[in-house]
Amino acid sequence: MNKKGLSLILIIFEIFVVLMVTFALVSKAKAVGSSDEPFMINAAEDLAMMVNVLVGLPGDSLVEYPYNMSNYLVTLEDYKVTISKGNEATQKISFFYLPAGYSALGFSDKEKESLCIEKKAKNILLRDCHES
Amino acid sequence: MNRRGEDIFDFGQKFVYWTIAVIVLTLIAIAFKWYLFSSQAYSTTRASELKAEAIALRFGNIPECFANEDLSSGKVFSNTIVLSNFTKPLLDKCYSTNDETRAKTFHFRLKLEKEGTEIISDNYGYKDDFTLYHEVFVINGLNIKNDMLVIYVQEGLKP
Repeated sequence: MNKKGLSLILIIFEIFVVLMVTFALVSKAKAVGSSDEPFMINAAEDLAMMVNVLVGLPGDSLVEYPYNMSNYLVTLEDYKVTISKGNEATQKISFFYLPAGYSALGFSDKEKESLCIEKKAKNILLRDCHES
Repeated sequence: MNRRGEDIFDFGQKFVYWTIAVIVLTLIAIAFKWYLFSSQAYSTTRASELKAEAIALRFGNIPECFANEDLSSGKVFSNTIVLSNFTKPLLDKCYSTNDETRAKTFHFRLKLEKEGTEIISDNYGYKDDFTLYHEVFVINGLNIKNDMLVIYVQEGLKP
């Protein structure tokens, strides 16, 4: 092969490599940007903090989580809140601390858009806001 | 330089060029990935002071901690501390961590500034990260005095 032909092939190869690297970086950025993970981590942290705040208020109270949670399963237990998309691999957990005698319980499936946390006496309940 | 010499020189130049290019592109890819993950971590981080404040609300607001409750009406008075209840056993009932989360959560030292009384939660190691202040009424029998509940907060376990 002559020198001119070889350098043309090398230029095409260089452009190809640059395009490939650019594509890889952009697709990685897109994947991170459209990922549910930050939303799930934030929601778990928010709900755990909401439980802590409700525990610290005298009397009964009710608070609605202001985001649409219909794509997620939310479970409230005595010391943690779990958010998942249905499988364990994607679940995010955040912890809270109840005083002795308190309990926390509740489950919200994917069809419920609004999510409320209610404090009734010493019970913290996670429920659909439209349930009476 | 003869033709063979020129070819070897060209090959050497290209080899150096591609070696540098691969190293630079790899470094760019690693830096970009690190930037993405640190941005993601930043967007999901809550201020420790805010999280500790949410927990610390309970100390002066619920009777299971130190707040005053009128037993006849069941009414709980906010921002009150019953001095006789301000003890470590009650603090342990009011706030206790578990093995799973102990290393990452908050541990408290509570001090009534004027009264001088101080109690600490389990695993508190006198390594304060920050301090919160709550104005409270301290109830000692029939006496009521205003005081400052100083909440020293230690994040995680620090031996």
